[in-house]
Amino acid sequence: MDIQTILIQFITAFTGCLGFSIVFHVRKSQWAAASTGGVLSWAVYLAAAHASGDYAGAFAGACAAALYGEVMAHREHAPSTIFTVIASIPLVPGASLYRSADSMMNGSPDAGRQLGIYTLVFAACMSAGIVVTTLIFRAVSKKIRERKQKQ
Amino acid sequence: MNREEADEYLYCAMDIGQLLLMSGAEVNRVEDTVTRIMNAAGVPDVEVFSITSTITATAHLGDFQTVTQMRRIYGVRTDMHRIEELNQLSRNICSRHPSPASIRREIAQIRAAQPINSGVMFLGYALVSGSFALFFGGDMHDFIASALIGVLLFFFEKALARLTSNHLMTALLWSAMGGFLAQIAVMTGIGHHADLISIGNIMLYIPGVAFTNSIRDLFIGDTITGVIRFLESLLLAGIIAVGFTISGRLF
Repeated sequence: MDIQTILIQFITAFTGCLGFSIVFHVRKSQWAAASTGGVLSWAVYLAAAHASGDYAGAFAGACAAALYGEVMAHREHAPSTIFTVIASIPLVPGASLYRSADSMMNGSPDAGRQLGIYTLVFAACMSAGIVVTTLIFRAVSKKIRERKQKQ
Repeated sequence: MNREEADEYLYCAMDIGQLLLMSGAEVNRVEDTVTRIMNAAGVPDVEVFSITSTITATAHLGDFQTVTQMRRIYGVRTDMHRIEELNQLSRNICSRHPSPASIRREIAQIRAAQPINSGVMFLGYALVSGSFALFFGGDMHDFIASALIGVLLFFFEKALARLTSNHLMTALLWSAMGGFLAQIAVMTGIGHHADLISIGNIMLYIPGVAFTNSIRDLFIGDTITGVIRFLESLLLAGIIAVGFTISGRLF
C-alpha cells in the first residue's frame, strides 16, 4: 500500500466518523474528538495487520478504540460508548458483511461462505479487543482510585 | 420505604432504562442503571433483567413485599446525546437523591428535547456515503455521486417511514433505491464505479456496529441479547443484499 492510499484512508476515516457522529447524534463539542479516535484505530489496525495479519489488526485496532473511548470518557465525563463506537467504525466489518451476503445470493456461495467466516472471526477479534481492554482499564482505574482514597 | 414510594421510584428508573434502550444503549448499562437508582432510593435488594426489547425489575421491600414492573421497547434509534443526558441524570439521582416528582420532570425534559435535527442529519448521510466510497478505493466522482445519493436516500427514508413501519421492508426498498440511483449515476457519468458508490451508501444501513456488538454481548454473558442482535444483523444484511441485487439485475 502506498503512502497516498493511506493518507486518503486517514482523511476519509475522519470524515466518515464525523458523518456518523452526526447520524448518531453525538454532541457537537465531541465530534472532533470522536472522529480522531477513528483515525487512531485505523492507524493501529494498519500497523498490526501489516505485521501479523488482519485478525491481529482487528484485535489491536479495537483495543486502541476501546482504550481511547475509556480515556476520553474520563476526560469528558461522558459514557465511553460514544467514543468507542465512533472510533471503531472504520474497523467494523460492514462492507465484508454486505459482500458475504451479496456473494451468497449471486451465485458464488463458496466465496460467500469464506467471506462470512472472515467477517465473523474479524468481528469476534474486535469484540475480544474491546472487552479485554475495557475490563483491564476499569480494574486498573479502580485500583488507582482506591489507592488515592487511602492516602 | 412503603410500597407506593417504591413503585414511584421504580417507575422512574424504568422510564430511564426504557429511554436508554430506545437510544441504543447496551443492556448491561440499562440493568446497571436501574439497579443503582433503586439502591440510591433505599432498596438494596433489586433484580433487573433486560434484553433489547424488554426490561423486567423486581424490588424487594422485606416482609414478603415486592414491587415488579416491566417495559416493552419498540424500535431503536442510536442517539448518543440522549444516552449521555440519561447517564448524567442517573448519576445525579445517585448522588443527590431527588424526589420521584422532580426525577419525572427531568425525564420529561429529556424526552421532549428534539431527538435529531434533520437539517444537519442529511449532511451526516452525505458525509458517511462519500467518505466510505473514497475509503474503499473510489475516486472523486464516486465521492460526489455517493454523497448525492446519500442525501436522496435520507429523504427517501423519511418518506418510507410514513409508508411502512416494518424495518425490513424499509431496508429492502431503501437498498433497491440505492442500487438504482448508483446505476443512474454511472450512466449519466456523475460517478464511475457503481459498486464503490453503493458501498458508501451501504455503510449507512449495514448493521456492522450491531453485528460486532452482538458478539461482544455474547462475550460478556448477555447471551439472549447477543443471539437476537446477531440474527437481526444477519437478516438485515441479507435483505440489503437482496435490495441491491434487484436493482442491479434490472440493468
